[in-house]
Amino acid sequence: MLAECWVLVPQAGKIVFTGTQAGAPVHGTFSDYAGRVCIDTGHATGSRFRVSVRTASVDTQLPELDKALRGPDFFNSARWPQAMFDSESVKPLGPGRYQVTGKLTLRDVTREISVPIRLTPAGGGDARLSGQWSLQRLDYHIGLGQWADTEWVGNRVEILFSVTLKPVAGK
Amino acid sequence: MAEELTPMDRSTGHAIPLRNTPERYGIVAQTLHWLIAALVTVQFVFGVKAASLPLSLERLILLARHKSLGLTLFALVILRLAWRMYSSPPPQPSQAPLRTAARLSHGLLYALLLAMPIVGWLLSSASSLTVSWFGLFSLPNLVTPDRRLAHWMLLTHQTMAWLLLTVVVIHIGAAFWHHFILKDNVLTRMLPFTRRGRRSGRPP
Ligand code: HEM
Ligand code: HEM
Repeated sequence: MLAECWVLVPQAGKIVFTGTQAGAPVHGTFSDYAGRVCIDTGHATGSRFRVSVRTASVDTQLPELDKALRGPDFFNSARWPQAMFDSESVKPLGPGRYQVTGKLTLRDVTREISVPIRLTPAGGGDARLSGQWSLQRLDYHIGLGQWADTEWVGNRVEILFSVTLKPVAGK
Repeated sequence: MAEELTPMDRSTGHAIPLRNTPERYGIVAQTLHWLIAALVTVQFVFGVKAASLPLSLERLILLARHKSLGLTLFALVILRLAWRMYSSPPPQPSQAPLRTAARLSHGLLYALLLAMPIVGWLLSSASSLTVSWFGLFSLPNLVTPDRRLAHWMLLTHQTMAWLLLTVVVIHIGAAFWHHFILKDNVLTRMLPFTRRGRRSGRPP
């Protein structure tokens, strides 16, 4: 059996993060992402996730904050323009549910993460890939210098994603 | 009038009632007045300092305290107005034009003290920054993020701040003018630990 493959449809969906500032939630989105997803439930090795997000596309609706997030103390988008996720381990958890384990690269840090995802039909052969997961921003050196403070800028950041996938010919 | 006495009153040998009397402000009104006066001062220090800083942790902390204290102040002003309805303040000793000036300026002070926190909250919401009260709970956002609205709210907040400062300066000037020139009890009846609160309500 061949793997089923899809590409992420640009702009169709959202990647939202929620951090905290002074105890209150602060949300932002990334609008520019791309990727290719293959799921092979028959083989242990056929699956592959490759997703990249352009960090400069961050939008918190507060221009000064976006500028700071793109800057050297946070994403440093000039030096590391992409956040990358790469996985070859996709384990089925149930109908339309998988556990994806792979490497996340943010800035100069690469760590192994494991994210539960859902795959649901979205009409016309398309699919919707969604999930939720959280990270500790300091694990990835997001927030240097004064921003390493976690009392006023929370360490934990929630990530919520829901993107549209378009089927493509198998790998 | 048989008012409740507090221990402090006995220690000064002079009765300051909890409630307002026709001669003076009681302890509740005095405490709220001076507490709010102190908070307003802190609000200016934090607000102006924060506004002078670029995005930084220091600005974030100052603004967080400014917002939390500003909301506290808002609650205290509501409490103060409620108390004022329950316990009428002493009548204004001055005659027609001065009395109107006092009413107008006190009314303007209350209006600004109520409006500024709401405008500040609107400003924060429109700037996409949710307001938290000392990190204990978050307030709902009054509006969705809107840069144009944020711009206008900032301008309104600033204009109100300078108007408030102007009225407060006039207010303090008037208090001293009453005390040293008119020599009536208008200042002393807002002060604890004074006997002069009992002085005749009318200037000579
Ligand atoms: C009576 C209460 C308050 C007073 C007297 C006050 C006064 C001030 C003053 C003097 C400034 C500096 C303005 C400047 O120089 O540009 C300021 C800035 C500010 N205030 Fe308030 N404020 C009050 C309540 C609040 C509240 C409750 C909030 C939010 C919930 C708030 C949010 C802000 C913000 C966000 C700024 C910074 C504007 C900026 O630099 O971008 N204020 N305030
Ligand atoms: C050193 C500073 C201040 C002094 C010496 C002062 C003095 C006084 C005095 C003597 C009164 C009583 C007036 C009367 O008997 O009719 C009064 C009332 C009042 N003060 Fe102040 N004050 C000061 C600061 C402030 C500040 C910062 C605010 C608020 C922004 C404020 C708001 C008020 C209001 C609203 C009243 C009217 C009270 C009522 O409801 O009858 N004062 N003040």
